[in-house]
Amino acid sequence: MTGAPGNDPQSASVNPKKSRWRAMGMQMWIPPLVCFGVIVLAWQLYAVHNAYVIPTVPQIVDQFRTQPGLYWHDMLITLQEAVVGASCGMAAAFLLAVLMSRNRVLERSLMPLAVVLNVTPIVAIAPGLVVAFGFGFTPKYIIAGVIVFFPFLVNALVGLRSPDPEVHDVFITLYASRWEVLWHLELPSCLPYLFAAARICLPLSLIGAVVAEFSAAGETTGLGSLIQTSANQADLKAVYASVVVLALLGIGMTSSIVMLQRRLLSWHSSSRTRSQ
Amino acid sequence: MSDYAARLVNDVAAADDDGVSIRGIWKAFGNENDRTAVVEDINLRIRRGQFVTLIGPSGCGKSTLLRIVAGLIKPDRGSVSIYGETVCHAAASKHIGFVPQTPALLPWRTVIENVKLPLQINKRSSSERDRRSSDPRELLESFGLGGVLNLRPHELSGGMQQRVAIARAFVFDPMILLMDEPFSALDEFAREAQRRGLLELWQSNQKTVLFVTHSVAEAVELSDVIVVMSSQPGRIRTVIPVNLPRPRGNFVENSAAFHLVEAEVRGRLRNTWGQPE
Repeated sequence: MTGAPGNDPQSASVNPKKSRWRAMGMQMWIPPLVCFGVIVLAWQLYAVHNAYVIPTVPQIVDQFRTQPGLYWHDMLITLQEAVVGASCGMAAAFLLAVLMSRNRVLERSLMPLAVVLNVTPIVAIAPGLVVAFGFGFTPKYIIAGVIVFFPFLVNALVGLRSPDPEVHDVFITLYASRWEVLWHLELPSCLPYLFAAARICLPLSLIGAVVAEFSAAGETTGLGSLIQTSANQADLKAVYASVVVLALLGIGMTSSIVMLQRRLLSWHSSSRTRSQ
Repeated sequence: MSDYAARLVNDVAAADDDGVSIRGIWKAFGNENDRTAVVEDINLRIRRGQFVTLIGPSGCGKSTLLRIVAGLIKPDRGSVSIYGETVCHAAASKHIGFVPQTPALLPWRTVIENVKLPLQINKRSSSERDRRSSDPRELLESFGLGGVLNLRPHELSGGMQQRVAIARAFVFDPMILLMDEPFSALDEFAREAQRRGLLELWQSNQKTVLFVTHSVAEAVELSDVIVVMSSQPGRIRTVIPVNLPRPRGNFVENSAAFHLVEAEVRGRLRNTWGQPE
């Protein structure tokens, strides 16, 4: 990063707070927007000359204008699969982490299984799950849940063990029960770790949902099955339009987590700006 | 002052349930083959309202002893009674106020919420305990923290954070205050200010205090009794009464009597190093 125009506090004489805000906003948004613009432009230039490889930008945008209902409907299905699956997976991982943080034997016996679950490629499990659970939502939920389980478990476990031993000592001298230590100390200490994990896990669950739809579209026609059927029909416009929707979905998930994090974790150093 | 002198002179063992008695404490760490004694045969009586300081070289087990009294470590042998109760009972009835080395505040709670924490924990409480608890707001105001009630710990200086930690220990009006080098993480100026603050506080409510430090001046300035410990294994080398007048202010530090006591403590400490066992 070179130079920091407008960030010099002395140059902002009239309303320092407001103009610094604006300067910071500009600094934050202009570079990524410029990058994005360059890539879209390059895409368009390439697409105009290679119409059979990728569609042009206006063609993709046109998809949303002509068939908004189709993309909206499929997006909602994929979103449901990802969010429900991820929520169940994260909840299960968190509960297991709480139990493991109490009991080392449990951790030693179950952690290897969790590792096995994690290192097995999710694409390999998906067809088997479809056979076992049919073509409905269930296998999609399971795959989205499985994919988030391990990262969330590991982060939650580290978070639950993060409190300073001296704070723990204070709780013991207050004769706090294990439940009170969990509620007043370990859970709040764990929250920053959980948010960091959720930022990884929610986009991951989107991958899980799409992979599951690739394996078996069945009754649920989400963006993954839309991509697959469109690709089979060589409908590149629909393929890339779905990809764009998936990307937007991922951005939406990540930014809503970040917003929630800022709101809930104002006390944590990760939410403080460095200038303070 | 005369009251204080009388208490110090009157060495007749008071009833056992009046004060803290530490009897025959032994503690070793390590596994069965390789055990290292940390403290050996510790006997100590702390009378009601006494300020007792444990001092000694690092590794002498002074923190271990404090943690045994706090109920954080179980001794191998011996017992501690706090006003006639076991440590466990004393903790359950919130008779123990513990101030660790770092402030150990909860960063997501404001100052006043941190001080309220002991009131929210272990609430299956008797009415007797509720009567003892003081209003957190008034308490913080009396600690000179009335202006920062709603700030978060990270917005305070290290000295103020430690003051909040002391206020938290005070909220149930504990029978004994256990402090484990509470000012050691502060810089010289903050430490001075906090020491003054604690001195004033103690003088206004005469709480029973067991204080661990490695600063001789701090020990002399604050204490009624200084317990000098030697290391490996940790034993009580000697107990030095500090007969300086109270209330102690700025002048005490410059008085001849202060330097005499200070010199004596330093001498005894030197002895403990001189005899490696």
